Formats: sequence, C-alpha cells, structure tokens
Amino acid sequence: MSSAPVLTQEEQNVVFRLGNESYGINIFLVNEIIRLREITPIPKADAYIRGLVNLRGKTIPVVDLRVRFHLPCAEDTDSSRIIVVESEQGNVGIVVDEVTEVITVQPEQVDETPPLVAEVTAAFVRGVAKQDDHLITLLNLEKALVA
Amino acid sequence: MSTEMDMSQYLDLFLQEADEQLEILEQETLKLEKEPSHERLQVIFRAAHTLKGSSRAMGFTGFANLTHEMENVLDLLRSDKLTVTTEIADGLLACIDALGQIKESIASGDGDTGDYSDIVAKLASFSNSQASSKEPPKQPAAKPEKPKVEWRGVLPPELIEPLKEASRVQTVWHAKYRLVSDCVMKFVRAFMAISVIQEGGELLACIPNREELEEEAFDTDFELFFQTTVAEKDIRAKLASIGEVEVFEMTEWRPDAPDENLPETPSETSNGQPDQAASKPQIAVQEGKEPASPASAPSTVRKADSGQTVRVDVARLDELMNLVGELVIDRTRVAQIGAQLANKYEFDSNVEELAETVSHIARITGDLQDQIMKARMLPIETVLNRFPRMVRDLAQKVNKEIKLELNGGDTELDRSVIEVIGDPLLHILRNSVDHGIESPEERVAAGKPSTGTIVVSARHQENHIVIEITDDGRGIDLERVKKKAIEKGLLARDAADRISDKDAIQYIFASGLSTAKQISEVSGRGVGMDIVKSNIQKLGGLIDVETVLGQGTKFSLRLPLTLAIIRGLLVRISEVVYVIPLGSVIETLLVPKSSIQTVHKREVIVIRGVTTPLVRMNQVFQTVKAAPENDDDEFYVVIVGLAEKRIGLVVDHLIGEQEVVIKSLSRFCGDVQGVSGATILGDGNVALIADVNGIIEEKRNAA
Repeated sequence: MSSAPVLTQEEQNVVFRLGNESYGINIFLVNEIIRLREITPIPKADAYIRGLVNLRGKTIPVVDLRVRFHLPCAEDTDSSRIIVVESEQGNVGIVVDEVTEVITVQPEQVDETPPLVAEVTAAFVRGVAKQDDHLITLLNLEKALVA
Repeated sequence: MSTEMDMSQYLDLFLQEADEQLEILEQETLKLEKEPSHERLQVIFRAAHTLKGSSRAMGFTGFANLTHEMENVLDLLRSDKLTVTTEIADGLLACIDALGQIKESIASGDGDTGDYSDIVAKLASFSNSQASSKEPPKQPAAKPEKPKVEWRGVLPPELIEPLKEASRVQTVWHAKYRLVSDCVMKFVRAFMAISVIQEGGELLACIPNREELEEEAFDTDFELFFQTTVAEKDIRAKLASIGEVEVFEMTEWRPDAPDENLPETPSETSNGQPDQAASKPQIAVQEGKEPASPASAPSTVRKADSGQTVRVDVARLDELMNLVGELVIDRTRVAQIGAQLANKYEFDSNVEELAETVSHIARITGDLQDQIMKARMLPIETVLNRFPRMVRDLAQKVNKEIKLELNGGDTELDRSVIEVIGDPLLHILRNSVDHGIESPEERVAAGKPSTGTIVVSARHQENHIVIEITDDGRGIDLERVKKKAIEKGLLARDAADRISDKDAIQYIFASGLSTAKQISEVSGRGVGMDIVKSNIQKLGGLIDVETVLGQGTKFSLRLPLTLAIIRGLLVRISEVVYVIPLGSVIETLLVPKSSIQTVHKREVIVIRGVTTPLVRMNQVFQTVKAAPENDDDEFYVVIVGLAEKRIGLVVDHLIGEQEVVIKSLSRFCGDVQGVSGATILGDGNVALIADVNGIIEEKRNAA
C-alpha cells in the first residue's frame, strides 16, 4: 500500500450492524449505548434526524444512519440500540440495528476504502477492516454526522 | 495559608475588579461631563487609583501608566486647576476605552500589549497645559499630595482593647513593613509574613485589615500585631527575610506607647524609645509615593457590601437551575405515578401518605424554584448602563444634541434574558439617534427644543417585563415605508392604500428595508430591524411600534421574565405531544366542523363576531408519520394571541397544563421552524415547544 496508512496504531472499535453490513466507530468517541426509547420527531428538521430523546434529563438529537447512508428503511427491533457519541455540537445518538462487539483493530488489518464501497458514501469512511472473514467499515464519525 | 500563589487565580480577581472599576469610571465620567461635582471626581479618582494599584501589583505596566496619567488629570480637576470640558471628557473616555482594550488583551492571554502613547500624550497635554499656564514651579501632576513620611498606622480604637488585653498575658509584637515601590504581588509578601507568624503564634491585628490586604488596598505599608512563642531573634530574622521589603521594623507593642504614628526603630532590645533620627533617612527614600488612603477608601465601601453578598459563578447558578428543572420534571412524574397508584389501591393508607408527601415536595420544589429564579435575577441596569456612552458618542458623531433618560434600571429580570436583549435594544437606540432625532437646526425649525430626548424605561407588567424606547424625533413616515415596501415587492401597490397604519409600520421589520435617505456609518443599510424582531421573538417576546409623524416614535418590547421555566399547555398533534406556552394562549375551544368558513381559500372561524384565521397544526408540524385525517365532527382550537392579532391553532387533543423546563434544541438540529425549544415531560418523554410567534408570523407571510 503506497499512501499513508489509515491507522498508525491499534485501535478499539465498537462494531454495530446496519442491515447486513458491519460498521465500526472509535471507542473513544462512544459515551454510552442505550436501549431504544421513545424518540420525539422534530418536524421540518433534516430527514436523517430522527428526533430527540431524554438522556437523564437532557435532550439529545438522534440520527438515523440509514437515512444518512441512503440505506433502505427498516423497522426497529428488540436489538436496536442508540449509541451516544460525542460530536462537536454536543452529544448525539445514533440508531443502529444491533451492537455486536468491541474489537481491537490492528493497522495492518485496515485497507483504504475500495473505490466503490457498496452503499455508504465514501466521505464517511476511514477504511475497511478485515476481521476473520467479514469486513467492517470504519466510520469517520465527524463527517458522517455533520450535515 | 499557602505562600504558593497561583498567579492566574489573581488574574481573574484583577480582571473582575478591572471590569467593575472601568464601568464605574465610564458611568461617572459621563455624568461628570454633564454635572461636574467634587464627590463625583472623588469617586472617579478612587476607581482610577484602585486600578493603578492592582495593575501595578500584577505587573501590567501599560495599564498602570495609563491610569497614572488619568489620575494626574483627575487630580487637576479635583483641585479646580482644570475644568471639565468635552475635550477632557473625550480624553478620559478614550483612556477608559484603551484600558478596556488592554484588559481584553490581558484576558485573552496576550498580556499587557498595545501602544497607547497617543492617549498618554493627550492626557499629558491637559495636565501640562495647566502646569505651564499656572505657577510652573509647582509639580502638581505626578504627586497629588505630599508624600507621607509617617507610618500610616493608627490603630482603630476597637482594636486597641483586645491588644491591651492580649499584652497582659504575653508580649505583643508590632511588625511594620514598607515594601519596595515596584513590588509585584504585595499581598503575597503580606501573606508570607502572616504565615511566618502563624507558624508559631497568632496574628492579632493588622493595618490595613485583612480584607484590604487581600484586595491589595494598600500602597506599600502594612503593619502586623502578633504574639508568638518563637524566640524574638528567630522570628525577627524570618520576618525580615520575606523579600522585596524596603523597610522592616519590629518592636514590642505597649498600650501606653506615646504615639503610634511616630516611627520606631528596629532596635534589638525592642523596648527602647523610638529613635526618629535613625529611621528618617530610610523613609526619605519614599518621596514621590502616593499615600495609602485613597486606595483604602473604596475598599471599605466594598467591604460593607461583601458582608451581605457572595459572588457565585454564573455557571454554577445555571447548573443549579438545571437541577431544579429536573426536580420539577420528576415532581410531576412522581405525582403521575401517585395518581396511578391511587387508582390501583384505592383504600391503601400508604397511597394517601404518598399523596401528602408528593404535594409537600411539590410545594418545596416550587419555593426552591422561586428562590433560584430570584438568585438569577439581575437589574436591567447592567444592560442600560452601556447606552449613555454609546448615545453620547453617536450623537457627537452625527452632530445632534441628545439627552438620554434611563428609567426603571432596577427592574429585575433573569440573566438569560439580560444576556440577549442588549443587542436588540442597542440597535433600536442607534436607529433613534441616527434617524429618529433630527438635527438641532431642523428641530428648532419645527418648533421643538434643539436637544432631542430619548427615554428608555423598563417596568414589570404581570409576568413580563416591558421596555419602552421613546424619542421625540421626526417619527416614521408611513407613506415612505409603504413606497419602499412596494419597491421591494413586499407589498402590492393596490394593497398599499388599504392597509392600516398598524400594518404598514410592520414593514420596517422587513429585511432589506430602510427609509433612511442616506446610508450612514451608523445605520440605514436596511439590515437590523428584521434581526431585532426575530431575536425578540425567539425570546418569546413582542415588539411593537407607535409613531406620530413629526412627534416621535415609541418602540415597546414585551419580554418574558425568564427563559428557563414556563407554564405550558400540552396538546397532541399527529400523535405527538407539543407544548404551547400558556403566556400566548387566550382560550381553548371545541368547535363543530361546520363552523369552519373560508375567506380567500383560507380557513377561518368566527368567535363572538371576530373572524379568526385557523392554522392546522398537523400541517405545520408535518412529520414522517402520516397524520390520520381527523373525521370527528368537532375539533379543538387553541386561540393564541400576538399583540392584538389572534389566530386559532387546530390540534387533535388537549392534554393539560404543566410547568415545563425549557431546554434549547441541540445545535445539531439547526434552526427548526415553528419550534422554540424542547422539554421533558412527566413520563420522561421529550416534547417540543411550539414557537407561537413564529407560527403566526409564518401565517401572515403566507397570506
């Protein structure tokens, strides 16, 4: 690989599932993972903002990554979770289908984004990690969240 | 007491003090210009002196030099060698501005920077012009008073008795310090001495007192009275070694000492007669130093205040408010659960007890909330005080004579409101100065006094604060407003003749519309009034204008007292709960479907003879979930009002009335139309707060 590596040192990632694909976000950006709860929709807000939830007396916005990534919509299930992450504009929740595991990614496991990553807009992606037999898309959260 | 002093901690104190003193300086200088008086000069002088002392202590020489020059001028004014002129006031104000800039630069970490030599030169020219014109040999400038040769040390009478008492038991020592004049952090030295004493003894008294020491309200001298178990020689050596000391003396204090004011010698035997000859040469070095008294005077004033108030970090108050907010939410929630339990276990005595406790908690939280709200209240003065200076400078620039009157400055309102109303008010005032008030010639020609008057008044009205800005200027020419509105395509030509004055004037709030003939530096670019209006509305406030051509204009602002907690009406719209601020709700109605009529294809209902436009809220608040069409025969209408305008909001259900804590929408969501914030309900869910003003506005614009 010629260009600069995506990771320079090993990094822990929280892995979650959206549809059939797995995504990872740096564990340092994750504040907590909560069960899905009543989300109050905000009329006229951007479509990828699902609404607001009450997180211990504070209201935080919740983003639907499916809409953001132009994935087909899906029903929430029992395994759906909200991952609360820190962003420049305060805490933001992300709705995911399932939180699967926390993995340690070694720099050599990560490839640059293949030119035509299936569904996710390339700008949101840092790289793709190979773990055993399946691929985990490492997200660039700041880009994925900022409108 | 620690001798390890953290400079940054004192930096905050310095900045805070600088803020306060600069404000006093500005306010009083402005008043001085109009009504010079010796008392006022004294206040200004003290403020300048305090600033000089503290900036020197912190090592900000640029700052200190400026205040020094200012003092010189003030001293000449004080001694009637100069009289207050606009020019001098300008110079002083420029100096105050420069001090403000230096303060900002210090606050931002850039230190005491900037070149203010022109201001120094200007101030110096005032004092020099005086010095050369009158008795040149005198040197009044740098030395306002004869240098004091004596120690300041007159013991306050209330201290003498305890000292006498103590001296009967054990020797009372009296240590006197004179610090070198450029000593940085004088109080640090004082504290070092005090901590030396406290290692093996007890500090009985000090001059100046402890608070003044802490506030550095002394020039170079301080005195300590103490008892100690440490051998005299040892403590003497230790006390003498604190550094940056010019003169140090330690003697035994005796109640029958002949004259406390007389200097005493550092005699080894400690009970010898004061030897004046020995100490005089040392003290002679002090030539050119100000006495400590001017600095100590304001500090005693402040001392009186500090007994009754405590400075609290604003962030802490906000946090407290947040916590109370959560308590309010939980209170509602517990009450709800209690009600459910009461339904389930109707005859259980515990349920009854729970209900009692809940109502007690409700009362206490209510009181707590009131108290904290009160703690957050500030007099509106804090905002208004910025205006006299602005109006003065502006009036000078545009060659107008303007008198600004401020009324009701002690009217209190929540800090959250205070923070945001400054700019809109400033903008309106600027407009009044620039466009409202005419030039003196024009005024005289119109038979008015040449000096225009602008009155800013504030008062409470129910749960609101009303701020009025009234000028006696030329008023707003409605015909020209209409013409402009037509030009800009905001108003149809044929409609212009039909609209009422009340409606016509609203166009001054339209973006891009200015009736000023010329664009001035001050205003007239047509931006501004629209922003003023939207800012006020964001606060849940109203703005209204009344104008009489040739006689003046009155802007009225009506603002909520707080932005933190409101009473709201909970309604359901498309399966989602929203809160409508109760302040804007006039009434709620259940009306039959058949009563809807249409006027120009717009839905209206007639309530007691008044035609009220309707807004279907499920269309305003469209969400992903498709709203089921309401096929009931009746529907709920919430009539809301903005000033005299009424509008009916069609909602699906009325739920109830509740106190809600306003939480701002995350910045992440951006600016959401029709929503002013969010809150958390008793069941833990989030509800959005409807922005009634915004909705009414939108409705009108759509018309």
